[in-house]
Amino acid sequence: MRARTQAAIGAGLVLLALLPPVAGRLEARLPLQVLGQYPLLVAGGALAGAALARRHGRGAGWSAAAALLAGAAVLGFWMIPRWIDAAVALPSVRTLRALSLVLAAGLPLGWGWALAGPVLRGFALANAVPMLAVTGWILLVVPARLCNSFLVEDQRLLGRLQLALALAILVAAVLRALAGGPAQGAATDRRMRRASPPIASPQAPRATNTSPSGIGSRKP
Amino acid sequence: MAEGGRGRLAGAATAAAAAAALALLAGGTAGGRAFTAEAARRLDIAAAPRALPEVVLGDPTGALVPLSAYRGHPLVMEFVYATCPDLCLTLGTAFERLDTLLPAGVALLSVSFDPADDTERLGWFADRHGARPPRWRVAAIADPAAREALLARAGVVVIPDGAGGFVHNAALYLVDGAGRLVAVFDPEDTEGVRAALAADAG
Amino acid sequence: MAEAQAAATGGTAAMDRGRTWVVLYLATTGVVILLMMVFGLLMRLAQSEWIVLDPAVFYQLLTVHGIGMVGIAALGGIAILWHFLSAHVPLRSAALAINLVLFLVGVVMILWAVFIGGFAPAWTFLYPLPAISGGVWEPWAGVLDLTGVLLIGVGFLILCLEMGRAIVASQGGLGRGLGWHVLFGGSTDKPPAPTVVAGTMVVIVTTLALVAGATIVVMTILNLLFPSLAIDPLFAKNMIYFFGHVFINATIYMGVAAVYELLPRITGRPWKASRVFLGAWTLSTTMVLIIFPHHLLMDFAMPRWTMVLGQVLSYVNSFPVLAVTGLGALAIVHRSGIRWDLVSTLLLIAMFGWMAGVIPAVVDATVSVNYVMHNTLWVPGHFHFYLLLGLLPMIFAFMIHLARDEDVTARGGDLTAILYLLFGLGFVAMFLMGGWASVPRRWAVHMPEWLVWDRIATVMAAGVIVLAGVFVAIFLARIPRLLRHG
Ligand code: HEM
Ligand SMILES: [Cu+2]
Repeated sequence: MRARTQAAIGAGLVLLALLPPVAGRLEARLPLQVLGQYPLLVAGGALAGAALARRHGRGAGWSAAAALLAGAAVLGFWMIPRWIDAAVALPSVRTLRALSLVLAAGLPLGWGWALAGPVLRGFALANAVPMLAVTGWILLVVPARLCNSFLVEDQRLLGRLQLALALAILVAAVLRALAGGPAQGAATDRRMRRASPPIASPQAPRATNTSPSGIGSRKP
Repeated sequence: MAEGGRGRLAGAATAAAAAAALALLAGGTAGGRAFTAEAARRLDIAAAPRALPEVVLGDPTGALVPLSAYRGHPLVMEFVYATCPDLCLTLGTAFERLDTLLPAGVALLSVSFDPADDTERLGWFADRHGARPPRWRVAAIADPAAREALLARAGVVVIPDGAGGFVHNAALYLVDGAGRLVAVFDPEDTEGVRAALAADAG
Repeated sequence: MAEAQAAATGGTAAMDRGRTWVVLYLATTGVVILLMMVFGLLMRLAQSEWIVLDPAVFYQLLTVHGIGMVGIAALGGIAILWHFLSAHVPLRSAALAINLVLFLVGVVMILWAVFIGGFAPAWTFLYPLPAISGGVWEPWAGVLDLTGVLLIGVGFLILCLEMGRAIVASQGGLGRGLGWHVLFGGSTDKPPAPTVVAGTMVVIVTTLALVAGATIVVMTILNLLFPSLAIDPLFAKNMIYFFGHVFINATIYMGVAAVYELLPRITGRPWKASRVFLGAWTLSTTMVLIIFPHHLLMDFAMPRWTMVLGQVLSYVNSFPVLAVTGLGALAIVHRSGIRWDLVSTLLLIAMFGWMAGVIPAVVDATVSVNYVMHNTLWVPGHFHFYLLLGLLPMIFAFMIHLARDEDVTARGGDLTAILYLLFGLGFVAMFLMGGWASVPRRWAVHMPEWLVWDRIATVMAAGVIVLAGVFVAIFLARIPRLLRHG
């Protein structure tokens, strides 16, 4: 039931991002498009992907890293100025972009994130932060206007916002790790965890069975 | 050892995803050569010259000349608007340089993309840069559909700058005797245009 | 879990705790340390004018010595931390394997870039040096070197994430790993073991350093490929400085696990994490965390006070940890009836080297002094002090400990340790005296009046190398046995 609610919320986000008046507003400015519309579409797909993983992801931990990588590549593709321009110029590309951000970026990202263990999640974040910062920096310092369809002021603003976002993600991740909590295991772990014998360790105060899923591998 | 098997499966899947990701990003940037639409269009035009659609050009004297009248000789084009405070001045200066640099057989054509550019405004632009037909014609296209078709074919993108003017991609366009757009150059790269024409003639 | 672990390493032994990998790490560390020391000796020989070295080669050696020592310090430090931490929290040694592979690939790339590509802007690759070689090296060499650095960083990142995962899973969060529930919550839960606290700190600061490092390395690579992407030099310097400083400092926090674990075993007195101990570690961690965003924001506005604060904080952030560790060690050893031998003496030297090595740093951080001392040999003097006499003795002590099958009964050998200390002190003292006399660092050729210090240093360095060779040989000789057991 929860999975279904989650998928419904995801569908709602996608609809919101594509609703003509909203879509028109979001697509008019570069920062709104990349940091407004893209996240809505990706989050929509990701919620569905996570819901799917919760239902059918048993034993599919091996696919987590591949899914995250594929989703990130598709998202990265749509951040290439050439394709941002192409989507403005051609409605067919715009449609393809909306579809692929939901299905080829969001869905696998949600699926992969749900199945990923903490190491893989941390690795993904530790890559996302520099990527976001470096691309933001490029937008700020490159002398040229990179998108024919947008003003250079928009490009610079997007660059600054990406730097801020990178910093925010970093701070949030550190706080989360300090607090412990749900970040410590894959969403499915709680269900899939087997009662494995607690490790014999002389001083460990509370040696619990840890999530076996790390770098994409998990115990059957 | 099921764990090892899954580890290998994960590794293979990740490697496959990495290969696909690489292919996608390489494909989407022409192997790292075209991150921007600007670079992509230049590569594309160099690889496959584009026939330009027919349009009727109106110049400051009121003369109407079809683009096809330029067939038979090389032509260098640029796209401007008469009231531009910056980029188009650079383009105009580039054309002034080409005017002295290029052999007699080559024509120059500044095309306005601003519907508000009438003969008077075109005259301003022509006078400022010393443009005189037939060597260098400053012209507008009255028919909106024809104008849009030409801009789209050449890959000219014009957006409002929010202050009454336009922001646009600026370049020098080389059209061959058959009326095909064969190369695009940076506004400063007059030397590149000259060299390309010389290579073509030689 | 035990099965998973055994399977991950492809072994059959239950609970191997990554022993085989730890041994391989230490063997690599030992060999590379000796090689890098010889490179250092060559530099000192050249400065002494006892051998003739093409300055281009000097700078290649300087670059490799710097990056090689920093990398290997981390490899050796991690070996220590992993070994002891894995007794407290269940770790999966697959991460050790991945890191070692990435490390070796990265090393090959760096050596290729430096010795074949001629890349030699010193290990800190300070912008815009990698791009402006004056024709000495081509951009590809810079790209290759930095890609190697990036790979090594990725390896250590994975290690940190695995340790972080294990700490979060077993303690319930990195905050609890630092003992915050005891420190702030007044919880009556048992505080984490000192090694866990150290491990938590390492995970936090190293991960942040690596993220900052990866960012600036990728930026520098892009700048090499597309020169129009200009980097703000001040920003670059801050990022590199944060990355390099935190990373090299973290190696000591890794190595200190040897002190926390071995001294109690040797003396039979437990090392408990008191509230003061926890507070000190939290304070050090916080100081690093505070300077981090401040470094990131620097390119927007960098008032003078932030520079001073950053400089001072980044030097003194290790103070609290240093103090509790030093006092703790003294308390444990005091009247314990300890019989000094090689391992315990090396650990004592390590504590001394670490503490004494910080003093020159503080002197340097004092702004008025900094005007005179900065970029003199005072700086290498300070960090050789705490690395050569602080970190390395921890690594050697751990090697000997393993070579002795982890048996802590005193077995002599303390004389070699003392000789190492004396030669090391002599070597470091020459750097410091040179710095005091304003001898610049990173000069391939020295003025005649500096030769005395250079030559004494050369002799001392030779002694250090011989003794380090003895420690490493003791360990290497035992490896076949260790691997059979492991
Ligand atoms: C016998 C032992 C050693 C010798 C002979 C030696 C020698 C040297 C010399 C001559 C320099 C250049 C100083 C200058 O003129 O600027 C240097 C720099 C350096 N050394 Fe060592 N060293 C030794 C051990 C170590 C150790 C154990 C470490 C770290 C674990 C280390 C890390 C460094 C670093 C990071 C630099 C700075 C490189 C740069 O300026 O870019 N060294 N060393
Ligand atoms: Cu203009």
